[in-house]
Amino acid sequence: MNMKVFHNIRALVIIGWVAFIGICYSWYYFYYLQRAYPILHQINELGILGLLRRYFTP
Amino acid sequence: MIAVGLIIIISGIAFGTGRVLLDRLAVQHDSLLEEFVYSTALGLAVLIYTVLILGLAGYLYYWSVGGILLCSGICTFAKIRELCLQIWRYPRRGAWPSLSVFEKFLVCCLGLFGLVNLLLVLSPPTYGDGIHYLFPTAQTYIRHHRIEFIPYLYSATRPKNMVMLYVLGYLFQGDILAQLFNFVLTVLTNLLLYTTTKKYTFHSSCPSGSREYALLAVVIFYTMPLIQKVAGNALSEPGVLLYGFLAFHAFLLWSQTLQFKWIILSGVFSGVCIGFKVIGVEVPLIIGLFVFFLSWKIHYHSAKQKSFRTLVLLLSIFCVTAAVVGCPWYWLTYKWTGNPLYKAKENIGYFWEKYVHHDAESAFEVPSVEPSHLEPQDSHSQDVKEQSPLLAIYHQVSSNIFRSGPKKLAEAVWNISMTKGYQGYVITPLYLAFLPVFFLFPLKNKNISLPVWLSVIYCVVGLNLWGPYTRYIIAIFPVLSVITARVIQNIYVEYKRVGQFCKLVCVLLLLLYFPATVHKGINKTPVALGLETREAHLKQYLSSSFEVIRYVNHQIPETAKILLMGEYRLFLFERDYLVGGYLSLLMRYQYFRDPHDAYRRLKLLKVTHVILNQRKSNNSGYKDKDNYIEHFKEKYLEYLYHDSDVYLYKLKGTP
Repeated sequence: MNMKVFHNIRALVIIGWVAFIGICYSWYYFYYLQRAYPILHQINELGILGLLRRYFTP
Repeated sequence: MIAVGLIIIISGIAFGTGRVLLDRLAVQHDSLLEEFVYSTALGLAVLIYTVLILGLAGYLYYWSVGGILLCSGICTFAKIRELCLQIWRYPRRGAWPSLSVFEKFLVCCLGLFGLVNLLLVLSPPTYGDGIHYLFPTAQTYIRHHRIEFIPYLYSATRPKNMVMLYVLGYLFQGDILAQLFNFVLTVLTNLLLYTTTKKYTFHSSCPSGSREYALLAVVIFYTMPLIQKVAGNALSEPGVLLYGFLAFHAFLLWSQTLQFKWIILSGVFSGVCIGFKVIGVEVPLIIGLFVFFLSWKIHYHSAKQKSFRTLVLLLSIFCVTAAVVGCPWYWLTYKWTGNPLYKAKENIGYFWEKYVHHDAESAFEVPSVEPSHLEPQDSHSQDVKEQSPLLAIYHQVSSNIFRSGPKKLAEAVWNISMTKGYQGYVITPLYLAFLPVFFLFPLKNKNISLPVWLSVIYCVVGLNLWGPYTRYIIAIFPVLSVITARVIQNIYVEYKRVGQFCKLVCVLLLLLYFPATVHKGINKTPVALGLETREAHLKQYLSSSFEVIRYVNHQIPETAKILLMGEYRLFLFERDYLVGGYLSLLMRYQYFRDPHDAYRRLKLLKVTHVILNQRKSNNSGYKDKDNYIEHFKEKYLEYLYHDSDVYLYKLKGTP
């Protein structure tokens, strides 16, 4: 294979793989937060405005 | 603050001692950092073995250990003073370098994680391994002023170099100083990682960049939640990490200079590593392989004068040094049980068998029968036991790799890298993102390719063997972080833009998993800063057990001896105790099937009180289906105190 083509393909593979892991981990991390902290469940259920409304309703 | 001052003094003395020894070996280093790490680590190893010898001789007293430390301090004062002067002069040389933005980010990361680590070690211990056997072992040795066989403790037959450091900590201050040794060992590992990476990432096209990648390697390693966990809690792993990596570093120096002293040092550090944990044996095994391959290549394969004798000599020097330095704990275990690798689980069965069903006097005899028949009868486990170890390893690996299918295998790679650390700890995504890229670059330096391939093979086999216990392959992670930093440098040198993108991903990933680790430190902040009392903190973590332990320490006579059933917060007890089951998993009510016999045995052992943690016992799965303990309680126990599900009883007929 032409070395220049190999050079470019390798760069693409590196970018693809690193970006893939980065995206996967970000998704995994937010999924983890969702499970770990109940406040995120509440945001999911009520939305931020709904949550604020609940906290400030006497 | 006293503990911090003491740890600095002890580390200083360790440095002086190590430096004097290294001078005798005519060992010189390129940098101050490398010299500091080598000397301090060697000095700490000398301290460990001094405490061991004093313990075996029965002189484990404050004055004996303190006297030796003082003498070492006085004898090596010149070296310590020299180091202090060098550190003092450093900022005046105008040597503070200007840092790039990426480097500043890495330094901030290190500072934050270091702070979290420090907060963890400055707060009272609440993590399992430390509180239920490492600290109690150190306390028992100090209480008895000697090192002896404690059959009821989980660590009774394990190598205990870390416990020796904890003995030092307990002699001079307490658990905080003991935990600070973990911090010191981790910091030394980080410093060595920095100097090593700086040396091996030197590239002609970016000479100043080597500092950046050295910092990156340290950050990749130190920010691993697994490393944060072992550095911040009382665990033996920091010792395995430091001495394992030192052994590897000394091997690298030998491969460059071919001087005997480096192979001796590599052997010494490997031996110390084995003394921290049985699993530390992986270090001399891997380095032994390296020594064999490299000496075969240099002295036999490509040498003009083939010298098989040199090859054998080198390998023997390495193996004999490692074995001699590493053997004391295994020799002691052999002396106590007749098997140098006697398993703690069986050991506890042995304790029960001897103590409760036979004569108490013969409890310390060499066991003639393996007490495996005491294990709960399980047909599957019986099958596994009959297999040879190699066959068992084959089945374990093959069931994980070959029988699981491609989807499971892909999931396994992800799980191993991300989630399946010990107790759900994330290892780190940075390894998974960059290590595979290593194989896209043609390997110009064949000497590097061997460690890399071996590390990868070891990781795959090791993780398949140990499953979720990532702690067992921890020794490989410093090497992997050096390689990861080197990979990112390679990318940057060949494709500048792609390299910048990779650094950006590094920043993103580091920012993401910082909060996952930091919350542990946040919980400990008030007590570490003195805003919360030690008692209040421990009560919060140890709940009902804490009240009962406090009652025991204040209300029952000092001569009392307690049998603990399902209770393992041993380090808080100020009375003598026997443990009736490690983590209550092995607590078996059937030992009480004959209440009168059990009572007679307990009397023989001079037990006066019994603590029963009902919840822990029931959680263990060994439920008291036949009410053995109930019958025993009715007949022979007298209720004294309880909090929630933890009960304290007095044995009838005792004062």
